[in-house]
Amino acid sequence: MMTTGFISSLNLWNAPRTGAARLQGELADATREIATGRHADVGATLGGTVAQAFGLRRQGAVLAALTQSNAAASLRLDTTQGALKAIQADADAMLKELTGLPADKRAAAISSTSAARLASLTSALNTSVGGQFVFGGTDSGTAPLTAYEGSPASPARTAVQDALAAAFPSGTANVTASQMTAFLDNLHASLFDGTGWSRFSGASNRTLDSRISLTETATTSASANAAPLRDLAMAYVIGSGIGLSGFPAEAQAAAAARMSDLLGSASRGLVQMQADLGISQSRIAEANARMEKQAALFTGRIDALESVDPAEAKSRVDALTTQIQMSYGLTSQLRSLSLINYVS
Amino acid sequence: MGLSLALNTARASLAASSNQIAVSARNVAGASDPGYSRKIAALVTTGAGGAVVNITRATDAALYARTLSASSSAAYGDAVLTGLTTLARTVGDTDDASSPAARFAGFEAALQAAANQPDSTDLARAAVEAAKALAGSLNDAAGAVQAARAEADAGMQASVARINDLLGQFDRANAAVTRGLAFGADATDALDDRDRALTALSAEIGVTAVVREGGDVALYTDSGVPLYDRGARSVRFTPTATYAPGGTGGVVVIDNVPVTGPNSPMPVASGRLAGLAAFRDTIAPAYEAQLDAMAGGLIEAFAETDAIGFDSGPRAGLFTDGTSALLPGDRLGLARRIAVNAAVDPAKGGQLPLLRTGGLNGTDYRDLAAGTDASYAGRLRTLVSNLTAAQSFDPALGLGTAQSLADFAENSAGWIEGKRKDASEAAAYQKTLLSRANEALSNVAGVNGDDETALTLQLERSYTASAKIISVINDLLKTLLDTVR
Repeated sequence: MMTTGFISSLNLWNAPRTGAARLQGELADATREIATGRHADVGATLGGTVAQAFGLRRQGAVLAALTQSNAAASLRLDTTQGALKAIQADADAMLKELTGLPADKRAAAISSTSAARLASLTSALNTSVGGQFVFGGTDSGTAPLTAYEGSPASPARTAVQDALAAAFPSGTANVTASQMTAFLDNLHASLFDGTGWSRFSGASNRTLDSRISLTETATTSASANAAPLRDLAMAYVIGSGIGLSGFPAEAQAAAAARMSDLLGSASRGLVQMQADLGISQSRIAEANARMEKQAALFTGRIDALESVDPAEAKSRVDALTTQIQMSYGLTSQLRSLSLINYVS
Repeated sequence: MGLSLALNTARASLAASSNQIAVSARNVAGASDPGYSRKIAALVTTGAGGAVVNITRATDAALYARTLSASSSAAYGDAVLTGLTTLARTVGDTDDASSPAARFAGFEAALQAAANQPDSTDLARAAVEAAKALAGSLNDAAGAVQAARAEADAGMQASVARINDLLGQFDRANAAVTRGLAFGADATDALDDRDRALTALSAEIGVTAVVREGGDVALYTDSGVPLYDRGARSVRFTPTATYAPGGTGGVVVIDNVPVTGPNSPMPVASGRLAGLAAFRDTIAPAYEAQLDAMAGGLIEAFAETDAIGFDSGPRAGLFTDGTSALLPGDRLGLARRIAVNAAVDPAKGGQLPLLRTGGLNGTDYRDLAAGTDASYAGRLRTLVSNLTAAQSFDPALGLGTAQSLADFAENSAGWIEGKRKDASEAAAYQKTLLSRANEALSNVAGVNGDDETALTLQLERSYTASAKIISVINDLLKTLLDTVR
């Protein structure tokens, strides 16, 4: 009775549909993969490789954050550059006036222009972007400079007036060139160099550093305490703040010489500052370009890990559909395949 | 007297054919029952024209033993996979921002953005919110681990109850078998019942059956602890309803021998019970320890030091263990408790600028260089580099030693998904093995309906022939008696 190739009816009836549940599951997965373009169950497909997928996403997120903060840094740098450019144009114009005017008319002419330029220097250094004072250094929350001419008198103006009174107690009509030079040296040392500058500026000496890419940092601001700006302020103060017209010609000439020295060095220094910031700007541009490529690379690698070829998934769906149809067809055919139907 | 002998033989043949048809009918009735084994009605002649029907069943002990072990392995793999799938939900899709690994990425990016624009309140708030999301995802993941452990524990309790119930069934079937065999009665249905109970038992716990004299069977777990030996042994388990971090669950004790847990001398290796125990006692606690290591690493990376005057020791900064400002000494359960310091959380009346200046634990803990500068980035930079710097991790966690916190979180996600992938492949393989073993057994011990139909037709002919003989003999006897009259 027991023959080779004996098969139980249970196996025979179930054989075509044992795989059906699995096939249906695969069909559902393949359909979802076509819809989303990603593996139906990324975790189960990648296994331990999800660590890599998470890592790529994290680096992508950090790059996006850096790119965003680079935009803010670029805006600050652009604003700073614009202000520095205006300041330098002013300084150059001042120097031109100073050298172009005849000695006897110089003091009167530059007095008013110096005052105006000192005011515009102050307002340029108080430039703010989005609530951030760009020349404030790390103390970006408060305006770095107070207006020199103002009411009540600024601490800077008071200090200059005090120094003037202390140096020339008997008036300025008989001051010699050497006395003038000594006074200016003293003024520079006490007010425009070292801690005395704090009467002019509340800025921090620390400029802002930004992380511009995963590995680089760049200086992305200038401080109002930079030497060229201090020199420039002194030049304008000499022109407008010490009553130059009241000095004899000899002293006036010494002061004018000092002014043009200061203007010249300030102009050179400003060029240097702009160049330094320009380097930061170009580094940011390069970093952005590089990060864009990196981000594209990360996206590509995430795709390579997680994506499914929709064409492949579609052909899988077709194959699965055919298989399931065959399984159903066979099941119904087997139902009619019984000896009972053939014996009467 | 030849005629009466022929008559007797024909009668015996009728009885035998009816018996055989009855057995065939039983077979047809059991054709769709996977636990039914084909009954074979063997005709044994007894001399002098007699014949009796001897009923046996088709079976194959080796194949049956294979289905038992395959069923145990499949149940084990299934239990482990179910547990891992629950844990893998804390990882979710890589696309999803809610897993700890993804929250680490979001937090690192937010902190980096805040460090580049320290004066921006919005970015500082975004960083604190990302920190809260990160702490929350660690809390949730740790909670999910504990819930999964409690679920496995409940599964073990159900499994133990089922084992006890099945052992009772087995006991009754075994008694019926031994009694039937002793009296020489047809014990095949009792044998089938016993096998059914045993097959169901093998899904719960790995079991080996030893057949002894008189058809009696003793059962041992796959580790050798007696489950049934002339009587069911007690299987006991004390369930644990809720799990605290690092809590240990009860062990399953069979015949006073613990068969799960690290202190078991004879741990069971397969079956649902073993799978649930392995998940509850090994896999889930390992994942929990990884989460705790992440939380502990975070709290340490953001700790503050006392820079002014008497050094009161380091304190917890942005992340705390939930209750204390001190640094936690032990990492156990940190993932469940980790929280963002209320001092910096605007939602709890905290001050956002403290993120920039430090000093969440008072002015002594401020960054000395911060001053009042709105754009001071030094402290935030330090935090970013602390977060991204390599920390040392316990190699026992299974994820390597020195790596950054974010890498660790990613590796942890990879660890759990890798385990799930392996478990799912193993479970699919075990299932295939089980279905092959069942098919092979069914082909040996199962019923073929067509075969039974053909057999019945054959028996019908035999019955008809015997009936015909009786009728012929009747005619002959009638002729004889008529002649006599």
